[in-house]
Amino acid sequence: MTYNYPAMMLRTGLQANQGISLSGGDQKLRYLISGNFARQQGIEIGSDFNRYSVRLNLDGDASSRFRWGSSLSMTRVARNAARVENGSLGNSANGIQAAMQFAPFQAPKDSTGNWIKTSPSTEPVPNPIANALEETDLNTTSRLLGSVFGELALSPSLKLKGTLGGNFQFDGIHFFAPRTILDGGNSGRGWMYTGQGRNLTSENTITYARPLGPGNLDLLGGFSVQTWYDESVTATAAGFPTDFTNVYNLGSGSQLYPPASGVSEHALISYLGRANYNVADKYLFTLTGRRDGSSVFGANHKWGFFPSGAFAWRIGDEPFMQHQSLFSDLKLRLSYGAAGNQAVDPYQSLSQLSVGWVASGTTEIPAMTLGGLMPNPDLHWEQKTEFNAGLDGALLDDRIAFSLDVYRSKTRDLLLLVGVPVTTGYSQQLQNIGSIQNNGVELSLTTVNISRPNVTWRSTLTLSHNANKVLDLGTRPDSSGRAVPVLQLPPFSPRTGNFFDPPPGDVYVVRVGEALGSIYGYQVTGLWQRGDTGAACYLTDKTACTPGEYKIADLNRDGQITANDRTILGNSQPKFYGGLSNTLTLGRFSLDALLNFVYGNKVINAGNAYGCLDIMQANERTCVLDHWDSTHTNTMVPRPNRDRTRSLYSTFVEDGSYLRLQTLTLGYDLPAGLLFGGAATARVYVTGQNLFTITGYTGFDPDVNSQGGDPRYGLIDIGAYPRSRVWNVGVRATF
Amino acid sequence: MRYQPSLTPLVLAVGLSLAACSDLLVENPKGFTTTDTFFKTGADLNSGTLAIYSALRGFEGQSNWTTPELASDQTRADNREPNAGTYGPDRLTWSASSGRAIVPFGTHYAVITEANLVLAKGPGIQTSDTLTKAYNLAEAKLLRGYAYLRLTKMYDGVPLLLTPEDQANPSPTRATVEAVHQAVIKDLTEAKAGLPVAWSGDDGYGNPTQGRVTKGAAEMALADLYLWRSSFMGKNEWQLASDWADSVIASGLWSLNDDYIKTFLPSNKGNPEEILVITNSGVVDRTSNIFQLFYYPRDWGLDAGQGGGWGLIHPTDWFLNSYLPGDYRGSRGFEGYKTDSAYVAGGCGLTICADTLGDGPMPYKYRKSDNGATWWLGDVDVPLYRYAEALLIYAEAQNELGNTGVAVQYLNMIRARARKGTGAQARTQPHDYGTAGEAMDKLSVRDAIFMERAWEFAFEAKRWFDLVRRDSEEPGYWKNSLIAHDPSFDQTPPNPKPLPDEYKKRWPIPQAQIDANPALCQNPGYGGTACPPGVTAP
Repeated sequence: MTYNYPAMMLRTGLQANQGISLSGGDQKLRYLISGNFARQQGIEIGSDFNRYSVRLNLDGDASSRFRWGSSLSMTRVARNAARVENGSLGNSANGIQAAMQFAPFQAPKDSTGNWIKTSPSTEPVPNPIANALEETDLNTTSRLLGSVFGELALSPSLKLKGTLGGNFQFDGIHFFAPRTILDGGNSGRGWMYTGQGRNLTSENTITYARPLGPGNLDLLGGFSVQTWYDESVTATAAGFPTDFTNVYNLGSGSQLYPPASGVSEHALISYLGRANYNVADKYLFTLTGRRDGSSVFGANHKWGFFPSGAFAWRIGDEPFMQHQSLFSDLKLRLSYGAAGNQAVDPYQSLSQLSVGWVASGTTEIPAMTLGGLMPNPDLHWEQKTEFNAGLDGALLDDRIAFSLDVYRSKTRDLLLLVGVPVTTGYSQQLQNIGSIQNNGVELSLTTVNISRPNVTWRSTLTLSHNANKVLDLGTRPDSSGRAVPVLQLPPFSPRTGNFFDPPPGDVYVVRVGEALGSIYGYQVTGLWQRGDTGAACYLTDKTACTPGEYKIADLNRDGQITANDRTILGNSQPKFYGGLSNTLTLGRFSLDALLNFVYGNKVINAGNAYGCLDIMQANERTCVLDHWDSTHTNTMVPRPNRDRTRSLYSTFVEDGSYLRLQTLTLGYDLPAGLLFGGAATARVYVTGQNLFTITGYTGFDPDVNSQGGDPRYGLIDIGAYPRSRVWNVGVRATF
Repeated sequence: MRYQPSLTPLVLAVGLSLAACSDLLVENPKGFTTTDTFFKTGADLNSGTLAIYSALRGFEGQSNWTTPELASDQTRADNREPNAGTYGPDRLTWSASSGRAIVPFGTHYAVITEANLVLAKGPGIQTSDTLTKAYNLAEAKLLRGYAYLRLTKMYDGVPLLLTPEDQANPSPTRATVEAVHQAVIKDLTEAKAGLPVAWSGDDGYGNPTQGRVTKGAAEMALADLYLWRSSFMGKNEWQLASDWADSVIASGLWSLNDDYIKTFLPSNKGNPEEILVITNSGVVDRTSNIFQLFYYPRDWGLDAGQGGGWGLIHPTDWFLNSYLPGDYRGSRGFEGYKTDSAYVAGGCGLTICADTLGDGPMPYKYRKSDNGATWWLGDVDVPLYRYAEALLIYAEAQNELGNTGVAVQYLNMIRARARKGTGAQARTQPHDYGTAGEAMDKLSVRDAIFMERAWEFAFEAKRWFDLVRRDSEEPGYWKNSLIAHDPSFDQTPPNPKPLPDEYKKRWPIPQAQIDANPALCQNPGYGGTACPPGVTAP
């Protein structure tokens, strides 16, 4: 009897979304109240998502000179997602990855109805069905966002505006593993986390407008302060008398764990100025300057200055353009400016002491040890300088509208974590080193194909191309002390997961001349075959050319396959990406279709390190049925070999290009006769999302990013939550 | 624009708030201190000294401990272990960029870093407890000397950095082995002078003192150093090794336990045979070891909390069969957690039983109090130096100096203890050497001492270094031992395993460290830049 674990992990989930909004007002006061409730059952069992939000906006004119406004919103998100994605191999496998690795001949429950805790494979996998259904992992976030502003017109040309805003966030995690599953040990284990943060902003500006010469001058000067404060507490315990109390009575746990708490604060101060000069609405000049200070940088490097300038020319309004009929509108935009980045954790410039532990008998003694990153008192702003040229226009009497942007940007003093020699007492330091370049083109084209009273058809195409390149990575002294340029940072491994041997499994590299997100591993050129003896076997140790094993390129020609034979196998940056949307209306019916596409990027299908490598440590995918043996040699799947190291072979690096029908919506505007309840307008619609995807990627979905936003880490699929196909039916009405 | 008087208060308000605001950019961390704000009092110095012990705990981690264990001919990996990264050291599978032999490099510099911090900040601290302050400085010297000694045993010459300023240098070069040893000798000698004979129950700041180092640890480390120099480096310093071992023996502070296994029981922490240990509380995982994973049988539930472990480290068949029949140190029992034998060959863990373990008997000298209920809470203190080693170093040095009679006398003290079995027994084996017609020439006695070291220090990560150092005295010994005793190098047809490479006797400097600091040269056989003379073994 076999069990289909991946099928047992997945289900069809229902989702619902309701919203209502009320707006109105008059000259003196305008208001908007809205509420929204969304709930979603995840397609993996045991996962779901709820969100409630309420918003209130007010905008009033207290007098002819004083305007004020306020906006308040409250949101609560609750998400259950126990071990649904990412994770690692064997014991740490989660979600779909674990379901694929679980032994299919093993029933999920035994004859007495208890969950079987692990799969009897060489590298045991926890029971994913049990984990999804029994484990509690409730993540909640409540957010309160509010702001209030006042604008005082001292004179028709001089205005003052002040804004005060606050963002209060409360996070909670309830995690509990009962004794019926592997994670719960003998009698359950759980922890509860509470975090709260507040972000306060005060922004004040003064604006002045007056005519000057042939045009109008518009000046703005401003000053803003932002502070962030976060604190958190975690309490953990295990060994509970009953699983019933879940994590809500940690004091009843017989096994106590030390609690954890933390506080983090940082601040940002900015001064800004802007001058706009508008001549005849045809020539627009802008000049801005910002001076920003951030607390996260070194003591003498907190401030940075970021100027920029722009020019726009409405060519379409020029007299010479009135005598042609091709362009109905044309505008040229040019800009050049600098912007700063300070998105790093605070306290990296300080020499931190953390706590280490020592035992004496059965007593624990805390000790102050050097911790964290190597301090860097010279830590300063990362700066990006960008030149952008754009052309917006419309052709053929507004039937075709286009927007074309070309940009060149260079980021200097890149904030990067760099490995330092362990002889310094630290392993890494956050440094400003190197520079990268991003050049690209963005095009947007909208055509009104048909425009008749009853039938319209519009299409919009967007296309983007970005070329990223690392320009330099600083210098370091060589063995004789001279400064030589650094050509490559040491290879590094993904943030999570233990897919590649030996730990750490380095799979990414940052190299001068290449783009960020470069994937680094062994180039496989085929499999060794029986006839590959003598000269055909280019390794010094002839026994290493075993038939059925991967034939790896010996790039440094030393006769051995070592870590020095690794090379860049591809990059996660796409060559281009974009979308095509079409909107067709036929009387009261409307049809919207959005296709999006990405081309030319590579994704590491890390799950194949356990699924397609034929190492028989857990259940593998059907690709291993195509493995090499003496009668079947025309394949890229090697022979079964328990001892094959799980390195990053080029066979795991797949093309992530895809074309997807992202949304298809069919809607109908109800005629007056069918309107219900006094509605002014009403529309019913059916939407399908993610209807089909054309891709060569062999994992679940090529649009995967298990690593988060750091661009040094390329795209890797370590068992990401599968993307679902959704059908929605809905009604929208206004009253 | 006409000046509006009503703007004055506005401008003033903005100006004042600007002045106050730049204080916001000064970082005042709340969750930790910095090296500038710490190290002001005697308590701070003691805490900084305890930090060195915290870093010392790294020596019992997987890469630091299982590498010399598995690489030796005394142990082999479980034949069911699937991870090449885990069983790699058994086959000497390591290189400068992969494998576990590169990890100890960083672990030892963590100890050296904390010690340097104490020795730099310590002398300037004003405190009324001058006794503990003097002890702290001596403790730092001992642990630093010990860390550099271990580094030379693994890697030969390494960067010699003795102050935080030295460490801030981003491109240090590897010093010669002689230079490092001279620094070690200075550190250990000064430590010996400054350390207490024994600690009182309190270190002056309310902390228990079991596990803090004493004069005996300094003397042991010096004996070990001179033993290494005499055997591995061929320097004739046997008399110094003998003298330092003798100062441990003659101090009268240390003695052998009657029951060999009792030395390692958590209920016996601080027994008079333990000279230097890594302490483990078994209370929380941050102060516990994971020896259950290394040594407890796979058959009792792997690491699923059912009383088993990875069962990673097995004795080789050669070693298991080498014990003299009836030697308590080679005894095997079949009752799982109830046995009083040195090996467990079958029986029940906590919930899972196996009549006979699937891959042979497992070492059972590291016995956790909880019998395997929680693999992350190991409370056994990991032995680094025991009194038995003072006796055997003395015996080996005396033998090399030509005093075979004295050597055999001390060798037999170890055997006499083994004959006591569980404490009050009177076993016949291991019999005193020489009473069964054994040869009494230097080479035979040396062989007997090395075999006694293998039996006595089984699974204490010492055998690898014995193989390497004896190879200098008898070229080919290391390679032939591995080929003859370790199944990873078994040459029997039809599938002979690859032979061990000679250069693997020295571990490689991590490639990542060379990438971060190209001034580092590499040991022979691993690529990279070759070292100047004196840095690597000749």
